[in-house]
Parts: sequence; structure tokens; C-alpha cells
Amino acid sequence: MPHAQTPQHAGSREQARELIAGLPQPLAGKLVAIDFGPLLVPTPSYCDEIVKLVLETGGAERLEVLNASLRARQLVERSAQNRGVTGRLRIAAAVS
Amino acid sequence: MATLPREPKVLTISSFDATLGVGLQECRLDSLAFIDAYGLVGMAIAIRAGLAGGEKVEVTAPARTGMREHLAAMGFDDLLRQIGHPELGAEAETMEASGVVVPLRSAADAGGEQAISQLLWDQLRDRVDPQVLAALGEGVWEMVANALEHSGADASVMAQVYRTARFGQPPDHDDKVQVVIGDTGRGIRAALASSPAYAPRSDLEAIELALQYLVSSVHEDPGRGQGLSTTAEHVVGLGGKMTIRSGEGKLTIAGEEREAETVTALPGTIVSLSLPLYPGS
Repeated sequence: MPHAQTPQHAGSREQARELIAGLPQPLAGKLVAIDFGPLLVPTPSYCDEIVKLVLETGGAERLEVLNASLRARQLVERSAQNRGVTGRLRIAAAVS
Repeated sequence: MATLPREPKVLTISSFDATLGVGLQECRLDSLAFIDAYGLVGMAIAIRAGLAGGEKVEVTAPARTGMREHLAAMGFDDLLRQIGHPELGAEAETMEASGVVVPLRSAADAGGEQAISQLLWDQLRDRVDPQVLAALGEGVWEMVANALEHSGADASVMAQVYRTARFGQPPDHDDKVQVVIGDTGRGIRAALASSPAYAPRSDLEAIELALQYLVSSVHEDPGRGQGLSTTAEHVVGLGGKMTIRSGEGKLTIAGEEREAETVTALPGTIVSLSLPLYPGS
């Protein structure tokens, strides 16, 4: 399963692109796991770009979000809803 | 020629709006005792815009008022050096006392939004509520990225803590932290008008529009346009205040209240995020 871990300091769409570009491509049909544990400040742009690249344009079967803070979880879920891919998003674990 | 009047004594959001605008050529700070982060970023933008237009800008601040030290502590010397202005001269030791956590910085020179965000985090992580830090961090990421992507110009950033508690006393509920991000770019109205989806008729209307969720000049991607609205929601939700000034429009949001004003035209956009250090205390 392609998986990646966010850095501590990340928040831009460009950094999300770099993170996803580091995964084995293509993502279509795969289960993709992203560990949000180290991320100190989740931002709407960063979370949205990950959802977009993995589920919308990447066509992955599922995005599994690991160790997301409550805020990161809210932002990822909101983006998945906007992009109509909620059914392929799984929040595996949440921390406060 | 636009000049700063000798009054008011304190250059803050309201006094800045009344006195600074396009065509600033002279900043006379003789009688000012204090400039807050919003005033300083606004002044920096007015100066940069003046220089870009080929004007020579003079800044004067006599030592007797303490303004030189205040400006140095806030990082203003760097800007003066950039414009070839004689340094005002002051000791860096005053920084801690003035509560500056991020002196005035060019985002591009500092290394972009990541470097600014990291600096803010390092300076504030032991001084403010974690929720406040998260909201400010989110705001800085989003606002600097907006400036760099949409304005066509560099962003200026600074942050300051305003303390009302005395040393050795518990935090006061009036203590707050303010982060200001400004740019000299094309402004929100022109940015939105570059999309065929929007044609705002005024700067104020453009600001209101940009604050709506999923409104962006990047019309090719319907998921864009989350940063400004989400930051506003986050900051206001913690009891903070957000002010957006672009062109002739200015909108302040605090709680359920929105104050819309038409102000002196200023090139670019300034966003101020102000939060209590300890919400609910």
C-alpha cells in the first residue's frame, strides 16, 4: 500500500503535491495511507490538495488518514465532501 | 504628497486607514508613541508601493520619542536599509519588551510561507494557547500563500503580542496576539475579476465575496477557495478578530458583527488576525 508521512511544518498546496509525488505512481485503484501524526498546523489548502491528488485526480480506491488531529480530520472530511469522494475516505485514528 | 499628521499619538488600524494611502512620500513619526502591527505593515506597503512607482520616501523618527527603538524592534530597519534610507539606529534588546514575535519580514526573503510559519510556531508555542497557535499558523500559511499566488507580489508579515498583565501576574483576558500579512499586489477585486465567474463591483464586494467558502480566482478547480473563509471561521470561533483591507474596502469580523468601510485606497491587501492569548480566560 502506498503510504507517506507528513512533515511537521507543511501547509501549502505545493507541499502536498511534493508529498504525493513521492508515492509510487499511479495511485489509481490503490489504497493510499497518509500519516498526519507529525503535522503541527493542518491547513485547508494542504488537506484539500491531498484529497484531490489521491482520490479525485489520482483515482485511488481509498485514502486512509492516520493519526490526524481533530482539526486535520475536519479539514480532510470537508474537502472530501466538496469533491464528492467521501465514500472513499477513511479516517483510521484520531488524536486530540 | 501624502504625509502622516502629527496626531494621533498612536498609529493603529483606524488612524492608519485615515492617514495612509497611495502616494505616500513622507512618514513623519515625530509625535507618534506607538505603531501596532497593522499600522506598520500598512506603512511598509505604502512605502514599497511608493518606491515601486519611482517615488522617494522619507521616514523621520526622532530619538526622543522612543519611536526609533520601537521601529527597530519591529524589524523596520531592514525595510529602511532596502530603500537606502539612513538607519534609524536602535538597540535590539528592546525587542522582548515590545512583544514582537515576528519582526517585519518579506515572505520571499524569509523563505516563503513555511519559514514564516515555522518562525511563528517557534516564537509562540510556549506563550499562547495551542488552539490560538493553530489558528494563527493556519492563517499565516493561507494568507501568505494567497499573497504569493494571487497578488503577483511579495508579502510582508509581522506578529506581535500585546500584554496587559504585569510581570508575575496570571495572564489577563485582554492579552492578545496579532499577526498581519500584507502585500502590494493587484488586490482581491482584480484577482477575483480574473476569473470569468466573478465581477465584483467594488473592493468591499470583492472582500465579501472572497470570504465565501469555495470562492476563488482559480475557477478551474471547484475545490479551491477555502483558505480565507476557513481562517476567518477559525479565528472568529476562538473569540478573535479578522480585518481585511484591499483597495478601498475594509471589512472587520468579530463574533457575529461585521463592520464594512470604504477607506483610503491602498495598493494590495492587508489581513490582520487578532486573537486573545488564552480564549475563555
